[in-house]
Amino acid sequence: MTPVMSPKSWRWAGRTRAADRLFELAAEEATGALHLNGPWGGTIFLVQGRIDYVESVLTPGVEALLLRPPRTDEQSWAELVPALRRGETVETEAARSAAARLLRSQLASDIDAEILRRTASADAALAALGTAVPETARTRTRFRPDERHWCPSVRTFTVVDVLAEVDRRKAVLARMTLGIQPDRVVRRAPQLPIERVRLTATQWNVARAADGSRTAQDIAWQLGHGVFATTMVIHQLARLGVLTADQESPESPGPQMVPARHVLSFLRASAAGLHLE
Amino acid sequence: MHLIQARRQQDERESGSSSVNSVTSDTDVRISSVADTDAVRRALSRLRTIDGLVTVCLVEPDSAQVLEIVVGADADPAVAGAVTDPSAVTVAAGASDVVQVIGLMTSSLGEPDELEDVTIALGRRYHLIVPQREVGADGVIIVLTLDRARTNLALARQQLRSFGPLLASVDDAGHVA
Repeated sequence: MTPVMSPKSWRWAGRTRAADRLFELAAEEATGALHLNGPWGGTIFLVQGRIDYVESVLTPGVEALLLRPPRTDEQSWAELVPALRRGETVETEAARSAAARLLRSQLASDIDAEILRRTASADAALAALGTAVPETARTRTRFRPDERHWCPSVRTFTVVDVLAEVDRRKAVLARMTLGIQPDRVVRRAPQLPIERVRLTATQWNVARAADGSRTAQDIAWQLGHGVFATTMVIHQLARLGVLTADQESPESPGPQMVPARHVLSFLRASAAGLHLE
Repeated sequence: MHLIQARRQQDERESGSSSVNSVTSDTDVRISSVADTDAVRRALSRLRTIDGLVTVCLVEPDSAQVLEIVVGADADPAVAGAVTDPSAVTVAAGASDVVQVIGLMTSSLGEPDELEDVTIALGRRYHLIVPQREVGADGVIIVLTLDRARTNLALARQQLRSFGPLLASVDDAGHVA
């Protein structure tokens, strides 16, 4: 059994020290949790050298996705979210045991739970592994052997699979237009450019939450959605003219910015991603 | 034909693999896919018997992520089954783009209507996009890729409907629980 995840097969400009460590652990077929601290902190759970789950301090985990309203009443949810975001141990533990109870009670189907788990994990991977941490930042990685995630694993992915998805998402974010980014404040447009518009329930909830004080990340937490997916929904709403990004930092696109195409294409982004050296 | 496929599936199930097998490598995913402990793979594996099926992808349309992929029962053995296969990633990206654009269209029309499914007919392949709104953080789509030479589209759609809810919980024998 030759592991196919040698760092050499992984050509990625933004490779981080965390990714390097993951390749080592994959080669060792390690089981346990790799803790990354710092502002982009998170935990990567491995089973036999494959990634089982990724957690980030910046994105809602599977417990949040499972417990979001209407499963939890609005009032308790509004109190729970800030505590989860601050990473308070008592509330986090309580949320995890509530989510575990929910799974045991079968009120959430096993399929739904597993899909939410993969969604949450990919979202966290972008935050924890996709950020190019400056060399000067003191991030420490620590591996705790045999530590497992509370939600039992049924499917694991190779380190290469997870990092490829991180890379793909980065390529999509680099092509966002209209000033939309996960950490940018958005607000409702003062006036709709068209006579009428029909929104899905999620689009409506996002538009309702975009009151000029929240970023895509804040809205994702508030609704119990993925941060990346919420950013995409916001881009769609901005395209419709329902939302606008705050212009506090005028559109100063990064070096990778491409000509403005307001209809964002995953296909175009992935084609660009595949040709990245 | 169906009997042979059913028999083959039965064999695969009995030669059975535990959850431990499914974590070893991507190359054995094809073999272990039916007797999997993974509820998602089990549900998608039900669709493997559709005539001419090449792959079934479970995709989150808001991120275009391939959440899972299952290879058809009699597809070309060269078709791999990894979530980062370039062809799977491309199909997921294209299908998500289609769903996003149709979303823009229905939003702008302002009429109370929503997407039921999309059929993309290429010279050699069909791609069927079927939204599943009740699952995941904000719905998922199932993308079926079919080999046109071995597919009767009307029949395939009928087969698809006969499954009932596509993401229903399925027991080990492949029956809807």
